[in-house]
Amino acid sequence: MKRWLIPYLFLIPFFLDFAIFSIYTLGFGIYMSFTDFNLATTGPIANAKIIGLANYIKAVTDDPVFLKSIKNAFIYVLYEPICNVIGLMLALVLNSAVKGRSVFRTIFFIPVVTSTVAIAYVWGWLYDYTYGPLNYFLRSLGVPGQYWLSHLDVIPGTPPGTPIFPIALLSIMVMSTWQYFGLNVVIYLAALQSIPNELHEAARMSGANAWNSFRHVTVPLMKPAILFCALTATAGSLQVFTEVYMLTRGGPVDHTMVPVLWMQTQAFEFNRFGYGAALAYTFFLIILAVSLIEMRILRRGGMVYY
Amino acid sequence: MVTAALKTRVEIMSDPPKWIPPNPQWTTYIRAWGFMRNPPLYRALLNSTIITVSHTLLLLLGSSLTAYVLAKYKFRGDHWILWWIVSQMMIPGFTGLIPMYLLMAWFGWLNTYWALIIPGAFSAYSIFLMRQYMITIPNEVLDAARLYGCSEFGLFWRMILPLSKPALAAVGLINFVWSWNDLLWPMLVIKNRDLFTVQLALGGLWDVRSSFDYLSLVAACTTIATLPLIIFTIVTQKYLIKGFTGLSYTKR
Repeated sequence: MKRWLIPYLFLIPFFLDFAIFSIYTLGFGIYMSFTDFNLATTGPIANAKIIGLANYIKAVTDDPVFLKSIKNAFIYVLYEPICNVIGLMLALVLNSAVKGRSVFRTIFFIPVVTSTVAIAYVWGWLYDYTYGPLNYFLRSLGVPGQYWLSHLDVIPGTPPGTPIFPIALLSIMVMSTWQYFGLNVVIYLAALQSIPNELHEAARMSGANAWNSFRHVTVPLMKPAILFCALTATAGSLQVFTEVYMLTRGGPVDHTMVPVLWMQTQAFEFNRFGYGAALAYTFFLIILAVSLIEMRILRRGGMVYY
Repeated sequence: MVTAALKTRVEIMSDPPKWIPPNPQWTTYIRAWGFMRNPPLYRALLNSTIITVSHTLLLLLGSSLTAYVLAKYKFRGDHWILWWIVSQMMIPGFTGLIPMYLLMAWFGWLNTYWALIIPGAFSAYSIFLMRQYMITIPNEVLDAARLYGCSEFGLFWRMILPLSKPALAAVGLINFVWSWNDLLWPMLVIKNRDLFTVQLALGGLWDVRSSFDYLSLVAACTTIATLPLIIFTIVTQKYLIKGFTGLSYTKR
């Protein structure tokens, strides 16, 4: 009689946690996004009026910073393919080397687990206009120093409206590439080492050279790893926060603003909780759409996920 | 590159900057301990340690229990629960931030350790990973234990947990690192400077860092703060890396 009860019994902690922290927060958050809940003006949530989709409409039409932040997020995500390629190449190199593989693997991996705050300090100093080594190095070559983190994406002298690449965002992307390429190295190295050597030997005996062997043996067998890196990296990178917060706070003049940072600013500095919630769910829908599209594209390329 | 970044934290800043300090001032490290006043560095480290360790242990316990039930028992609704967990993995973390903050306010958990330990104790990823691993544990082992009179909970505590050590290690380590390095959530929830985590405390130094005199001290503080995790990584790297790579492909 007791036997069938056991699973439910063991799941009680889980039920509690998910009921409170998962379902309730989701529902409450959605409700909140339909109100004008603002700690400063409406006081407690009981006083907040329901205003329907007004928050969402405002987010999409009347909030240029939000739209810019989404654009920045998608630009930022572009560092991932570069990071992946570097990781893959280094993994290939490490795979063929016998000595020192573990040492290099550890060295590459350390930045991945180092706190982004600490890394931001180092790179913030690197990029510093007056004291940073990067500008010092450039100046010693005769190139004038740049404002790597505070460059407005307009070149003085050009008419306003000419699209210029946001250098500050680029600088942040470089830092992220440096931090996370080790993760790709580690994952690809493990995937590479799981390919049995016999396959490569068989390919070689059939007359394949190194490139063909790579293309037709290595790559197909590494597809799960590549797919995993691509998907998780996209969703994770879109949610960037710490890097931007530490280096530029979204500046200068909101040019490097990213969605999560903007959401946090709206909600916790301007106290617009309802609006902040609406921003969150809007961006969530965007991420969801992007992930689904990405999965569809990659699946058509022949990769199976689950 | 890594070593260069680390070394630049040690040197006394000179202009033009050199890569290897001609006369390294090791006393900077000693002075760094007293440099941060609010909160002091050791206090921030203590906070982070307590929070991260508690959170990870709680997470391991809760997630493994849930994963065990989902892996080894068939009951009505198990598909729904699994589906819900998988869909949780798709929902990014920031969507829950604001409601969660309000929840913490109502529980009275703001500015306490609890707000950092309890939420997120059941991580969908962790549950899912552990379930995948536990499925591979043969049921015959459990049946044999039952024949010997093992209680149901004893099955979990004495048989499954020891057998799941690799999965536990991987999940635990990943979450440990994540919890230690987290900035966003502690920043929202902790305003009491005595309770700052290491990340928050470091962040507070940002305004001081450009000042010429303090630069080396800030750099030393940063190094000290990062060192525990670097040592931790080197020590546990085998399991840590296995954890990260285990995510990338399903069980063969």
